Amino acid sequence: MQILRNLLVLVAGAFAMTGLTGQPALADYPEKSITVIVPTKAGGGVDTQARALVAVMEEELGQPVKIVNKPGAGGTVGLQQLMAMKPDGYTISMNASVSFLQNPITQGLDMGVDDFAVIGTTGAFQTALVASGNAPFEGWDEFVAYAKANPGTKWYSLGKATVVVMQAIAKAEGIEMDIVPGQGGATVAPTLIAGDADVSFSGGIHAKFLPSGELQVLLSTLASGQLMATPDVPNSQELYGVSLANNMTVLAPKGLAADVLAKLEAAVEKAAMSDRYAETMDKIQYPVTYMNSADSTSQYLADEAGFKALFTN
Amino acid sequence: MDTLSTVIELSLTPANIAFVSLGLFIGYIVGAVPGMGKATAAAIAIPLTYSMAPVSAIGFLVGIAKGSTAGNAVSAILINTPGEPSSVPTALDGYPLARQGKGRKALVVALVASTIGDFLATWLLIFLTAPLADIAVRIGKVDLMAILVFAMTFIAALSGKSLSKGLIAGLVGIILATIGLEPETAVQRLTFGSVRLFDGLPLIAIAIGIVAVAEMIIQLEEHLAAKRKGDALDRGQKQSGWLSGAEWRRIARPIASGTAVGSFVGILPGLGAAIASFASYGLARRLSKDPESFGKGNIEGVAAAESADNAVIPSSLIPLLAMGIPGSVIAAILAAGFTMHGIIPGPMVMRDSPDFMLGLFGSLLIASPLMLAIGLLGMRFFVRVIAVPFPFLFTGVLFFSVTGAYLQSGETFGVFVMLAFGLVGYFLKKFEFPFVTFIIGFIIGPQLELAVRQSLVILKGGSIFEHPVAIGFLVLTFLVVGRIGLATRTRLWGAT
Repeated sequence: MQILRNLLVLVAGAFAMTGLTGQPALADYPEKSITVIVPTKAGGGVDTQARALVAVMEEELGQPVKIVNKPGAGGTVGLQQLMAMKPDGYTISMNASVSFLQNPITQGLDMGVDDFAVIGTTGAFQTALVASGNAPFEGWDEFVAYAKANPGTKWYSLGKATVVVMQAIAKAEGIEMDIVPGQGGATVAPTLIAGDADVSFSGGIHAKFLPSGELQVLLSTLASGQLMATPDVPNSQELYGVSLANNMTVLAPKGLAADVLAKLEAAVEKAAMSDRYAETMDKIQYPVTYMNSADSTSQYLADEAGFKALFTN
Repeated sequence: MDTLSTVIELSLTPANIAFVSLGLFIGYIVGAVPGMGKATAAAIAIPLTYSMAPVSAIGFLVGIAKGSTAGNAVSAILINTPGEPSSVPTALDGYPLARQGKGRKALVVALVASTIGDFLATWLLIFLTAPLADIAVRIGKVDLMAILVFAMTFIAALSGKSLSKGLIAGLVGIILATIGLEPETAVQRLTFGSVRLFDGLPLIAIAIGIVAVAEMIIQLEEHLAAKRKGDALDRGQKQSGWLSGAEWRRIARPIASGTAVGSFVGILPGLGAAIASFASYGLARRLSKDPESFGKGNIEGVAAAESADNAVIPSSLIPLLAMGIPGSVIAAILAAGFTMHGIIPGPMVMRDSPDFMLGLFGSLLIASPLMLAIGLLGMRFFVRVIAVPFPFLFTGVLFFSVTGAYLQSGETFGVFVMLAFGLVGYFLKKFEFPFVTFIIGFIIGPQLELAVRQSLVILKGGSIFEHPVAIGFLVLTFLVVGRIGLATRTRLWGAT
């Protein structure tokens, strides 16, 4: 199928070329295939979304768009490689926004929003604070009361960024909790259900445990908007001024020409609004939340400044 | 009966059989190539299944996983290059067999053991998914910690001649595994500021280097020496691969114990196939009438390792399907495949998609005989690898090793790690340090560190006596360590 499609694209391209002969091509980007760095392993949530986006972008741009997985260090390995690439629009990245916002800060890397051209945002990971459905509290207020009455309530951390945000929340509420260090989002649900911790951050994997009542959502940690599955829970940004938002983002190296950026932005928008992407997002239960280049950039600059302030405190 | 006809209707379709066979065939080839693990293969294949029907797609992916697990034995036995850590114990006896000219026999044992382990564990999956969900829930971090402490005693069982050399190699493995970012505070350990080391040293690159590359250097030495003397190594494969009745009886027990160990480890989340095959190998050695011949070419060792390695695949789907917890890397990748097809693995899957589950069980069952058939038919083809002249073998293995190390990370860093550990492995072998305990230390070390830290926090204000599984494993550990201590004392000072 892929070969057939590429052939069709080639034939269509050849026709288009003959039609244009004699005219100076003003915007002839892209004239070769585009490489997309996905800084996670193949098969995860980021990779699945990227593959759906790429399929539509190929049709839009009329050139093959190939994914290369460069996993490591929460995405910073792949993004450092993107930074080193020429800003010609032929190497871009599709990644979770934590990879260039929180992770470089906690890892002490000299890398941030300024080092990239943000092409667009396509979806939102459903980040939240979650607990077991059998916990002796229900909802955020009851949890806070419970944690105040029970110093040493255990929470399950997923990396330094979650520690920073949770400490800010605990400080604001005046609660003292113990950290059970964790690794890997897939371990959240089993840890809570087994009772090894009372509460945990979740990058979105909790959604499938909600219908059965095994997990409950206490607090949304989105920077803006509501959680898709549980729109009514309170939001950490509103209550405490901190969030752990994570968005599916398309990046390019800094210094992209304006017309190339515009073309990529249009293709990403088409892909984000496509049925193919909607179908994929529906399966993994994340909402499509498209933001263009300018809006994404200002949102991420604000997020970055907020997290930096939190981190250095 | 209604259920049975649904299973047949869903899984015994020509398209489904074709996709499962194709997956097995690709898996077998991928498994036979050193360094291309089942996880890599399945991960690459997930996007290919986008347009397939869910049952066929998962059948195809499971076929790749099963096929490559069985295929790993081919390279482990014939050229001493395990494709994955879990087939390292296969090479311990498989390769000596191959060097004695019994490579074909070792391959048949491996394939039969793989098929039986896989087939029985699949039935276990079908019958136990629902009831075992209840038990799996109770395996908490404290229990996991105790299980990992127990797993550390495998170092003693696999140390070979010298316990102290085994412990030293194991400790070096543990120390090297501390490299990377500490998960809670993001403190950098021994990274020298390099972002490439934030996730630690890449396991596959180390395993390929220390096992495959080191072996090639040793063989190169032998080859050059043999050339000077004017005789080449005899790698003739003339003899039949079929086993005698006595040999069938010999491998029956290791296959049974291997299947049991593999199924058990697969059900427990987070342990993985490598621990299963090492544990099964150690157990078979302990139970054997002739433990001294292990490591020198005993078919029981091959049978024990392979049956456990393959039994892990279906049984690690039990916690995945019952709870949504993947018991192995491959289950985690399959979970991604499930999700892509709109099947959310977890307690709801039986209620939400009963037809899919029945089709999946059917696909898993037909995969076993298909695997046996494909393995037997392909064997003639794979046995030829061993008849290849040494220069081709040497360059071929190095080529696939480099490709494997590169594929794992997508950049040359992994290749350099592999080459460096090729040298480390060479000296380990020269000075008779067991590289197996090194790898065990490297795999279990970080898991144990995290589990201990988690347990310390969890047990704050509680008692370990609330965790009976943990108590059981800790008692078991004391018994094993005590026995090792007594044995060492007897050897050093004589019986008292």
